[in-house]
Amino acid sequence: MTGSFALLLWAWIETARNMGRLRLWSPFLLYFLIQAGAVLLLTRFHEPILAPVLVPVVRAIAGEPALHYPLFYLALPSVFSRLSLGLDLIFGAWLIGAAFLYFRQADRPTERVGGSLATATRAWPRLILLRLPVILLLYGSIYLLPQLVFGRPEEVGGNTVRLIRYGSFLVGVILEALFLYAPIVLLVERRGILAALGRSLRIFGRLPGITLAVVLVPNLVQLPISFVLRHAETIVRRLSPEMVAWALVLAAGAYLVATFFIVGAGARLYRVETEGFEG
Amino acid sequence: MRAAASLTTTSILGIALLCGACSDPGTGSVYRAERDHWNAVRLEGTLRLGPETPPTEEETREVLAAYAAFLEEHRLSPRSEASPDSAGARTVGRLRADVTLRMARLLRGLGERDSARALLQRGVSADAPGLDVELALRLELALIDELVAAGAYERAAERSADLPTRFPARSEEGAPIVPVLDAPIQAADLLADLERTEEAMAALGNAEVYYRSLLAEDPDDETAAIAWMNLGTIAVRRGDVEAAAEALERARGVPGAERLQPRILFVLGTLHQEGRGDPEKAAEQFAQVVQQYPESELAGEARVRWAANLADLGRPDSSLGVLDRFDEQHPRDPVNRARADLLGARILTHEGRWQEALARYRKLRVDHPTSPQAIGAPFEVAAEYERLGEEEAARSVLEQALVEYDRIRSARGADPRGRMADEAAVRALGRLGRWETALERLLSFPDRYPGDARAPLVLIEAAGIAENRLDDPERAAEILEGVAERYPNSPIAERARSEAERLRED
Repeated sequence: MTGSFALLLWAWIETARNMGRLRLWSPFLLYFLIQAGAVLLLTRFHEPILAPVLVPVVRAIAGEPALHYPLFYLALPSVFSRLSLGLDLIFGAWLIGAAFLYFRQADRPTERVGGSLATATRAWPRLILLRLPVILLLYGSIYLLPQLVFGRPEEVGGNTVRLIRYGSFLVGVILEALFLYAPIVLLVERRGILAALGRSLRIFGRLPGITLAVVLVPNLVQLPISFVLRHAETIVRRLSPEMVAWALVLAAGAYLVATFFIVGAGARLYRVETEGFEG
Repeated sequence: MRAAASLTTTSILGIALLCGACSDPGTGSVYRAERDHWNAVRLEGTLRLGPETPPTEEETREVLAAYAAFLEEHRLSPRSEASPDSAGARTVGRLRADVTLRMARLLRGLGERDSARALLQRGVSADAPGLDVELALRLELALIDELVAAGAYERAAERSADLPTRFPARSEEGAPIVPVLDAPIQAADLLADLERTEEAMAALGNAEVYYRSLLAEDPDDETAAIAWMNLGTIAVRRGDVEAAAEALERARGVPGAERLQPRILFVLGTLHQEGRGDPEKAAEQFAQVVQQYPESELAGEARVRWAANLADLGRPDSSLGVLDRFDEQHPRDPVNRARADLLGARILTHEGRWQEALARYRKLRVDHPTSPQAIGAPFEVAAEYERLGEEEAARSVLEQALVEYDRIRSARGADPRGRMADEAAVRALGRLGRWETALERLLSFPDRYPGDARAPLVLIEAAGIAENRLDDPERAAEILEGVAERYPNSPIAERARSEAERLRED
C-alpha cells in the first residue's frame, strides 16, 4: 500500500514538474479551444447560418422549449454534455493520444522531439474506434441505465437523483480508469484495437488502486462545477443567461487541467509498468 | 485522400441542406426577439422603482431607447423569417405588445402622454390583430385609458362602445372578460361626462341589449352575474334605484357566481348607501362582506364603509370598534387602512375627542404619508383648530404641511401623488393667504405636467386667483388669453377667450 501510494505521488509530482512545458499543454489547449468553440457555436444556434444544423440538434436533445430565450441557457449544460461525448470521441481520442506521446517524449530527453501529433493523426481513425466503446459505455451509464433502473428523471425523488448523480460519476471514473492506458498502448506498442483494450485492462489489473486514484482525484473538480451548472436557473436569474455559457467554458478549462494530470500520471504509470521504476 | 475529403464535405453540406428543410425558419428570429426582450426588460428592472428613489429621467430614457430598438428590430413584416400566421409570429407579436405597454407606462411617468397614446395606437393597429385576446385587449384598454387621460372622451367612448364587437365576453375557458363586459357602460359614462346626455342614454340602451343577449346565451355562469350587475348599474344611471336593487339580487342568485358574491354585496351596499340613502341596510350589506368573505379584496373597503354607515346611524362607538379591528383583519391593505384612519379621526373629531383624533391624524401621516388621505388631512386639522379658535395652531399645521408637500413632490416627481401634493400645496398657500406664491405654482403646472388634460382648468383657476384674490384683472386676462392660445382645441378655450375680453372691458 505504501509503495502504491508512493508511486502515485511520484506520478503526480513528475506531472506537476512538467506543468511549465507549454508543448505538453498544447493538445489539451487545443481540445479546450474545440470545446469552448462548441459552446460558442451552440450559443449562436439561432443564427441563420447555423440554425439549419443546430436547431434540430438542440430540439432533439432538449425539446422545443430549449429553442427559446432564456430557457436555452437552462438546457445548455445538458445539451453540451451530450455533444461533448461526440467531441470526446472525434477530437478527444486523437488529442489525448497525442498528449500521451508528448508525455512519453518528455520522459525521454535524449530522443528527438516531434512527430507525436503526426503519429496520433495517422492513427486517428483507430483512436476513434478505440474510444468508441468507452463513450458508448459512458453514455449508457449516464443516460440509459438510470432510466432503465429508476424510471424517467421527472419520476424520481431527491435521494434517488443523488444516487444516480454520484453513481454515474463513479461509474464514469471506473470506465476511464479501466481503459486509461489503451491509447498509449495502441500508439506505442502498435497493437490492434481489441488488443489495446485488453492490455489496458491487464495493466489496470496490476495497478487498480493507483489507476483509479489517478483518474478519480483530478476528476473531483467536476463535482463543484456540476453543482454550479445544476443551478443554472439561479445563474440565469441572478446574473445573466449568458453566464451559464461562461460557466461551461470554465468547466472545460478545469477539465483541461484535470486531464493534463490524468494523462501525465497515466503515462508515468505506463512507463513504470513497461520499463520498471527508475524514480 | 482528396476524394474522401470531397465526399465528406459534400455529405456534410447535403445533410445541412436537408436539415435546413427540417428546421423552422422562424426559430432564430423568435429567439433573438425573446433575447432582446429579456435584456430590455432586465434593464428596466434595474431602475430604482421604489417611491422614495424614483428612476431619473436619464435612466428612463435609456430603457425607452432599448424598448424602441426592440420594436424597430423585431417587426412583423413580410421580410421577417416567420410567416404572419405562424406560432413564431404570434410570439413576436406578444413580445411587441408587452414592450408597447411597458413603453407607454414609462412615457406616462415622464408626462409624455401624447407619445404614449401614439405608441398604443400603433400597437393596436399593427400588432393587435395577430395577438391572443388577452394581450390585444390590454393594448386596447391602455389606449382607451390614455384617450381618457388626454381628455379625448369622444374617441375613448367610441372605442369603448366598439369593444364588445371585437372581443368576446367570455374567454375560451368560459370565464368572464370583465373589461369587455364593463366597456359599454364606460362608453355611456364618457358621453355623459361630455354632457351629451341623449347619446349617453342611447349608449346605455345598447348596453342593456348587449347584457340581455349574454343572459340569453347562458343565464347561470359568472358572466351572467356580471351582466345582471351591470344592468343594475344601468338602472342607477337612469335613476331607478329599485330596478338596480332587483338586478343585483338577481345577480346574487346566479348559481355560478359564488366568486362574485363579495362584489355583489358591496355594490348592493353602495346602492343602499348612495342610491336609497339607507345607512342601516347599507351597513348590513357591508358587514356581510366583511364577515362572510374576510379574505376578499373588497373586505377592507367594506369595513370602512360599514363603519361610515354606523357613524351615519349615530353609533360612533360601534363604528370605532369596527375600525379598530382593521389592522388585525386586513394587514395587507394599506390603501383602505389610510381610509380607516381618516374616518376614525373624523368620527373622534365629531365626538369632541380632539386629542384622540389628532393621534389618528398623526398616525395617518406617519404610516401613509403619500396617501390621498394624509395629503388632505392637514386641511381638516387646520379647520378644526380654526373652529376651536386656535388660529396659530391652524397656520402651523398648514406651514408644516407645505414642507411635507414639497418633500413628496420632490420624491414622486410628475406621478399622480406628486401632482396631488402639488395641488394640495397650492390650496395650503391659499389658506395661508399667500396668493402670489399659489398663483406662481399654478402657472408652472402645464410645464411640470406636460400632456395633462387638466392644464387648462388649472390655468383658469390661476386666473381666478389673479382676479379675485390679487385684484389684478389685467393679469387674469393675460392668463386666460394664454389658455385660449395654448389650448385652442380645448372645450374651454372659447370660454377663456370671452372671460378675458370681459376683464379687459371692465
